[in-house]
Amino acid sequence: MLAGVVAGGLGALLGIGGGAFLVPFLNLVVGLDFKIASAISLVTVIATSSVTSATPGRLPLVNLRLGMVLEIFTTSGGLLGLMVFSRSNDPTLKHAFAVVMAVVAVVMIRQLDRRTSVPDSHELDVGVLGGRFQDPHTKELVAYRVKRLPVAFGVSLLAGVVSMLGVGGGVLKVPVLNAWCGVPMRTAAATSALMIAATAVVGSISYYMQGRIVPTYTAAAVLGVLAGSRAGFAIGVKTKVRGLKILMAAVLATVAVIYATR
Amino acid sequence: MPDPELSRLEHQLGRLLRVGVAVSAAALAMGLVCSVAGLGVGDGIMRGGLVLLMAIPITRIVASFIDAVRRGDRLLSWATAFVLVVMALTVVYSWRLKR
Repeated sequence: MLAGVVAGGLGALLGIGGGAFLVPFLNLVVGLDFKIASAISLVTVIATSSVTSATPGRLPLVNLRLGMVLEIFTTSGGLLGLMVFSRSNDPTLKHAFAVVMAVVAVVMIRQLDRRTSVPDSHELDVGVLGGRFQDPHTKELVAYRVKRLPVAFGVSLLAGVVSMLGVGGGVLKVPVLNAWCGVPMRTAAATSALMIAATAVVGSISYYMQGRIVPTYTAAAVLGVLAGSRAGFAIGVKTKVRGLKILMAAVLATVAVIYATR
Repeated sequence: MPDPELSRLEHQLGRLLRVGVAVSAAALAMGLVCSVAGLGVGDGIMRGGLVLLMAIPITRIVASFIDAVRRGDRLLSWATAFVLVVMALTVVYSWRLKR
């Protein structure tokens, strides 16, 4: 439960799901089997992403059409991931997890000084998947077109596969959608949260049916993550998280090394 | 995109999501307490909470699908339908994996 609180709080503070912390905690500290730990973590991902994507302040930022189209790829990726990972043994899964953690750490460091990139608003044609919204902070009307759609499809598929290891996958999607596809940061984050809920359900249903979800641990983890992310948001509004991000990137890199050498 | 009808549905769905997660969390907490207290019902209550948690995003997609069909939004209808098919395939796949 405490692990859930810490993981959820950190995840919310850093803008990533708690899974990146919860999986290694449940596996290495609590001593649960890696497959059980990732299954439990994935269930907590449903709770956090459902809550974050449904927060009234964030709802106008969600691009439902883009989210649903990309969800085709994240959920398909999820099913693909289940098929691949069900044939993989523990060492392979741990190595895959190590790679993901390393990528997350790199992304975190690279995004240190990029928080809000709000593009100029034009009276442009936003196309089928683009959108307009009013920025809650600057009150400006922001419009954008989605560029390089195949890239968005590809990263969504990859995020779907990876999420079956117990993480949300937002840390992969959000930077790519923002930097390469022209989606504003806030919209990318809010839309990603919407997709993650559906993708995590795909994995959770399967893991539940496979008996990999232990009710007591899962209940404690979900409650902890919910409490933690609430606290994380409250703290996050007031604090600068730069130093914390560096520290956590270091922790994730350490986790990556631990799993890589197993 | 600034579609008032779409955003109203989204707000209703948003409320549904938040209430759903709250109810699920309450069930998980109750189940956990019962379980720690050694009551046999704890496990069942927790499983109920977990199933509810998993049902929440599915409900959202079903609602979006019905609404998209009603409004004649073909792109959204197809996208949500596809996601529901993937979920159904996942259940079939997991069922076969278990046996």
